[in-house]
Amino acid sequence: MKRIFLILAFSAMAMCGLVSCEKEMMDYEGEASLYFDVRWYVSHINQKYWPHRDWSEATFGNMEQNDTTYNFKIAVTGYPADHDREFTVVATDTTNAVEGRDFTIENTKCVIKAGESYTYLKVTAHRSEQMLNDTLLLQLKIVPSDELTLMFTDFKDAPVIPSGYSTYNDNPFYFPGTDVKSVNHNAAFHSLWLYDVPIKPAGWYGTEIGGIFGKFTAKKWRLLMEITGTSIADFASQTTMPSARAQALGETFGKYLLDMAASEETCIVDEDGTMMWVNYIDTNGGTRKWSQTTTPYGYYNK
Amino acid sequence: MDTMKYRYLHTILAASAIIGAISSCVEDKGNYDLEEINELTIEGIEDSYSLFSLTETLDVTPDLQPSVKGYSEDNYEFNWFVCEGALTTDGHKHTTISTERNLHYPVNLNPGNYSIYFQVTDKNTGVKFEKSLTLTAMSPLVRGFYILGNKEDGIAGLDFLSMPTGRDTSLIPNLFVNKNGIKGAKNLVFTGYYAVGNNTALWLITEDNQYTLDFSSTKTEVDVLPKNLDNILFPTMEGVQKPFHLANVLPAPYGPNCTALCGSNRILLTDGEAYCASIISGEAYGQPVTRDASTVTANIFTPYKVAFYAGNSTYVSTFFFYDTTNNCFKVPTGGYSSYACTFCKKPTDSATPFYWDQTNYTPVRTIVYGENGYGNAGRSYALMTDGQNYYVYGFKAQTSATGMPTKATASTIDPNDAIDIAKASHYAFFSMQQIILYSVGSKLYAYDYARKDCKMINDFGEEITYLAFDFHSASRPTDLLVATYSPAQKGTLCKYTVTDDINNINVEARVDDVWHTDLRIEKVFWRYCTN
Repeated sequence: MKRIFLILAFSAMAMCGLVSCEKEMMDYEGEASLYFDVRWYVSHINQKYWPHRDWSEATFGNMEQNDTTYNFKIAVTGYPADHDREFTVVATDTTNAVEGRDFTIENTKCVIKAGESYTYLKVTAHRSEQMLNDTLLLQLKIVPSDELTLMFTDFKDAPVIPSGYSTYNDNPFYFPGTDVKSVNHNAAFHSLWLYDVPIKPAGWYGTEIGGIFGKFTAKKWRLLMEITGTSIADFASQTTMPSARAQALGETFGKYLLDMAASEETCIVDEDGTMMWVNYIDTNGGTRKWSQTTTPYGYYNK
Repeated sequence: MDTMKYRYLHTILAASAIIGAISSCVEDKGNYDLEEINELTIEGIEDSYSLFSLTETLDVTPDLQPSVKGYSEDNYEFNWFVCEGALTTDGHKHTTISTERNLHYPVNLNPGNYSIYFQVTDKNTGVKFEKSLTLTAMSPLVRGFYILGNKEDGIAGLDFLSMPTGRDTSLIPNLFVNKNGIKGAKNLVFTGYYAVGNNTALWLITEDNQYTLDFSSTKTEVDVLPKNLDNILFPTMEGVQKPFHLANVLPAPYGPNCTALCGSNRILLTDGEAYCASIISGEAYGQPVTRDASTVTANIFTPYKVAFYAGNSTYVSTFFFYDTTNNCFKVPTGGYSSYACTFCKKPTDSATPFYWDQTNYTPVRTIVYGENGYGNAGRSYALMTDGQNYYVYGFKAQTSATGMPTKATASTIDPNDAIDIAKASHYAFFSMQQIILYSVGSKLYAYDYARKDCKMINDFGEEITYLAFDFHSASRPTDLLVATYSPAQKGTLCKYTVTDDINNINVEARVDDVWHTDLRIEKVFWRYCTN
């Protein structure tokens, strides 16, 4: 009898032992911490795998409109709460853009609603004269609250250089125009750079060594659009600016440059001091043609 | 108490052992009293069927032969389904098209090959029996003639004379929905199938505008697409005629399969200019090539609406124009191929057998009509006039970008010999012989300008609205299309055969090739395109 009960007892213990092997997962017990969840990468990669980037830019030089609005995503770690959670975002002292003139923060008070884990900060950038010759900065900073902290001070999800971006000059993860790689050190900050300087559009055919339009300069582009009656939107892509169209525009613009070069007084000089050039100058300039490196002095004193 | 539990336990264990022992000793003798189940043989279904989608019905009546005599078909469930997509792909799916015993399925599939399964389930046994067939769904709009015209109220209409290989010819009316009520159709140009890029287009040209139509063979009704000339023409020269009005797109597709004569380049003619471009990266044109220099200030000339090239070629790399502004034939120049040309110039000229430059004649001769022929090694023709006489020039386009066109013949037509030719509204050159056909009102004439023999072919009693040779549909340069119209009879399209005879004019009506439409026919264009 006793032996039977012992067997039954051991069996029960063994079953309990098996049941106890089921692992119980621990709930998230870290802080509810805010961070700018602004990402950028190449389009063929799923956006959820995009790395973070701590800056955006308002490139008014390549826009038709005077205002452009950004919705910066701000996310929070941890489980969604059963109540709304508020926090604010401010412009830091590093900001040299002027509120109202250069930008407007549409909602400094942000709310992560109950059951949600992110919200958006709406910022509108305004074109201003100050952006013509300078690059302005709006640096945004999340202000923590009692229940929302800031713990991502060294984010470091610096991405690899996307395919097609070979140098820091055209790598979107380098700070514009520098060799400083933009690694998101502190996710409480996000910078919006504002400038009204045209950058070479996708519909520009030409380089320093030739092509239909030759080297790109803001001055040449603006004048080309003025003379040919085209717009920034026309140069947005090679679909809106097929090469046949570019060639036709180059002819009209080249003829204008040749006409203006009839005298040194009216000659169009580019930003670097050379005579403004498109390939029509070469193909139809005859004895009056010049190269991309020709200066007015060299041309009129030869 | 312990003794009692012990006793119960023993009893339970002993009983279990006995039951187990007994059950393990029972011999399973099996059941060899077998009952025959019904097997089904499905016959009466062909392996393959070919039908036109959207217009024809697949009818199949299977012959069901059960193995059990007298087995009722009430015991069956039927399912016909279309199997689409490869088995290995996510897109593989079955679509039930009928649950009846006999299939009556109006084919509603995009053109292509499909497997259709007939599945019979024996409700008594759950056993399934299957038989499959292959259905080739064809489009009635792949092969045939577009017939463009206007209805009584002037609204543009488009019919399709469907001529599928191995099947009867039938007219599909009102292919063009024309929701915008476009009026005044004058011309239709189908670019044919181009292998490079998405540049196939069906252009409807009206008196003052042009539209691209959907040319899909999978739709029984088509309408206007958004593409228009303002999206593809980007000249900046002063003197360009705007708004743009399309005159022609060349080279025209060739032969029964609408072969692209140049898949990567195209010539687009407007009322004011001609444009050439590579269309590999999309269709876009810059400055007109019908100018006399490569400069932006050059003089622009208006070309005749046909660019001349050898009509028997299967590839066209070069062509030339007739300058209606200065009355001179002009060849393109300035590029590695004529499509890359930037301007045009006069060809090398001499008086024999005719001048390229018509200003050498007094009075100056102007072009009346021109076309590219198939016969005589792809000779092109131009009908000229100086206001008194008419002249026919036969010539051959150059074969390289640096070459020159060659002259073949020049004939003078005395209007007193060619009856009422000065009143003609439509012309067609018979490329095999020196014969020109022309229509005056309801009368069709043929004139042999070598033998100076004129013959009235027919007085239709109603206005001739269209006249053209049709080499492409059957590779026969002797086929002639004639369309007539009257308010009572509406539109009629008929075919003639012109005999290739140097000594006689013989034009025979083909009595089986007559079709009727509500349209006043303006243009007939051969189409072969599987898209």
